[in-house]
Amino acid sequence: MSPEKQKKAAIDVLKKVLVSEHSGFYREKYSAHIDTVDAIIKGSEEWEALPFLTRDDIQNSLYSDRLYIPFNDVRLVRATSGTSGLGILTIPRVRLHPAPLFDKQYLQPDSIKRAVTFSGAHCVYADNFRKRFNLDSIYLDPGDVNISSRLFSIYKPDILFGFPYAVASLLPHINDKELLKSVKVVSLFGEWCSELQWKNFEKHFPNALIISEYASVESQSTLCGPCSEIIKNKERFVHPFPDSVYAELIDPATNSVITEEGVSGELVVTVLRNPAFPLIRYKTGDSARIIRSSCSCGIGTSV
Amino acid sequence: MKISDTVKEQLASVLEHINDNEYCNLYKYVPSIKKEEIGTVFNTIPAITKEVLRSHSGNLSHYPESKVRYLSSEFDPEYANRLFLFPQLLDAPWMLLNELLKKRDAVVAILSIPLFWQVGPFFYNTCKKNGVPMSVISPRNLPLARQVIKEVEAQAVTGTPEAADSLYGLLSEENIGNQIHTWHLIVPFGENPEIPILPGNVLIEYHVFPGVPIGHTSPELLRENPYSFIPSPEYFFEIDNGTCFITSLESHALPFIRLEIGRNAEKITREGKEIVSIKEYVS
Repeated sequence: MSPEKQKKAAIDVLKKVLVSEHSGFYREKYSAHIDTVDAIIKGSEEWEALPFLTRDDIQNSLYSDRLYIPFNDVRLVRATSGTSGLGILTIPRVRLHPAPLFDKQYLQPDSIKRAVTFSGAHCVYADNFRKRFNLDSIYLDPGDVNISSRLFSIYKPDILFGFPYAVASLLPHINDKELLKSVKVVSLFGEWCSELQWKNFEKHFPNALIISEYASVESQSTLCGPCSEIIKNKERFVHPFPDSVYAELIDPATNSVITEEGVSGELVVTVLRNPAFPLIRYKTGDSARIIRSSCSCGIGTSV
Repeated sequence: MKISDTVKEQLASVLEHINDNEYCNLYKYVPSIKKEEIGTVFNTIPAITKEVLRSHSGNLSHYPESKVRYLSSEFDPEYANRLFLFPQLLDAPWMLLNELLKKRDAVVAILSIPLFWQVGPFFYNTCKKNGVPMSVISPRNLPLARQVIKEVEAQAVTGTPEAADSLYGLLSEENIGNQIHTWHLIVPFGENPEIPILPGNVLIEYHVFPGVPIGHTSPELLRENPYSFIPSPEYFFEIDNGTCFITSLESHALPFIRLEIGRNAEKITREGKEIVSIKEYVS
């Protein structure tokens, strides 16, 4: 999807929330900016004029006021204080179909049967993995390396999904290094993986494809990941999934949009497929920078 | 040995499935038994213990891997070194939880048990089938559980007695202790933890392995009959010279065939319900 089409998809999300019968959250949020919002929808005002959604907005609202689907259609309520420690967010989640373009091709081979995750949403992962890839999975608790290393050793996973710190904390407790050699994919998310840590993983998982993805509890799904070109070149960048998110980079001092390569800013996301609680121009609090504006895969921006 | 015709049918079906099972040879010693012989020869089948399951070196699932998920065999992380993977069919029903969610019209259900038990997906599927949203909160972060319960107005909690006790205390601090109308407490079979005093419907479910319930009781029943519980209809409870064995009656990924679970056991009838009482547990 081209950036123009993504922006149009973002505007479509905006239109839907304004007429939703389930929730008035965004109507209320934009009540002081209704002319601007109207103009954006009509195309006579730029998207960038739309007010941001912040963590405070979410925390200061009732869960039930933010639901854009019937109450009992929610499958899982995630709760997080995130890495900021700034109070708790409760986010409803339905099981979403993953972005079609990045269809996690690395999960397709028949040789990949078993996954471990360090995520508190493991129950949803388990459901998704099974239905889409016939992949079994178990949960490893990063807070208990004894039991986790035992589970790892007897389960013998092909793929690990987790925070870099969680994967790293497990490594010294796996005595059988052959088990690490048989891991085929290490998919990291939740925090930035340092260069040193990445090299550590390459050393301990010599036969694994190591990739980075970006997701957040608020977004309810993975938003950015590597294309096959990035994977082939063993680069650490990610693409915002064009069918899932309209991503912007803003200067936190001025709130203006950054388009230049190499300049850091705050990641702002509008999630395009998020029926339970749509995020529109949500300030993630995460820093990013544009690495390059085009990629041979045709997607475009790498961050 | 007196066994009803219905149970004989069920046992015959399970025995047929385990005979020369292509996925697991755990029960290769069990002879082929005709349904009409079950009443006379069933209790001659050698019993097994949890230790036998632990020490079996092969695969334990009697179904292909595509049909199973894995649970932890241990409740206590202190016993990590003897932990094995306990297979469970993907469509296994959680009968008591099903009943609780249906009957009590729960709005949101919270799971707060050690996550390494691997029971999350089982809980998730049961809630999904009943159209009840759920949330999973580690018992190490009960203040988070309190916040979620408050915000989403949750009404049912599945947790350990210790987590439930602490959580109730936290909820009471904000005067929402009575919001939870169903407390579903998971207790490892053989343990006798102190059951907290909680408002609403309290049910204590005994699991022989995490995610493998074999019976339940209530605080009232426990007061009248300590050591007793209402047996799960998924198992045939056999008392032979005071020793209690259980055998699977339904399709289980790892069926139990005369698994020894306790001694000094008897069956009692109370108000028309059959109750099993076991005074000495086999670990």
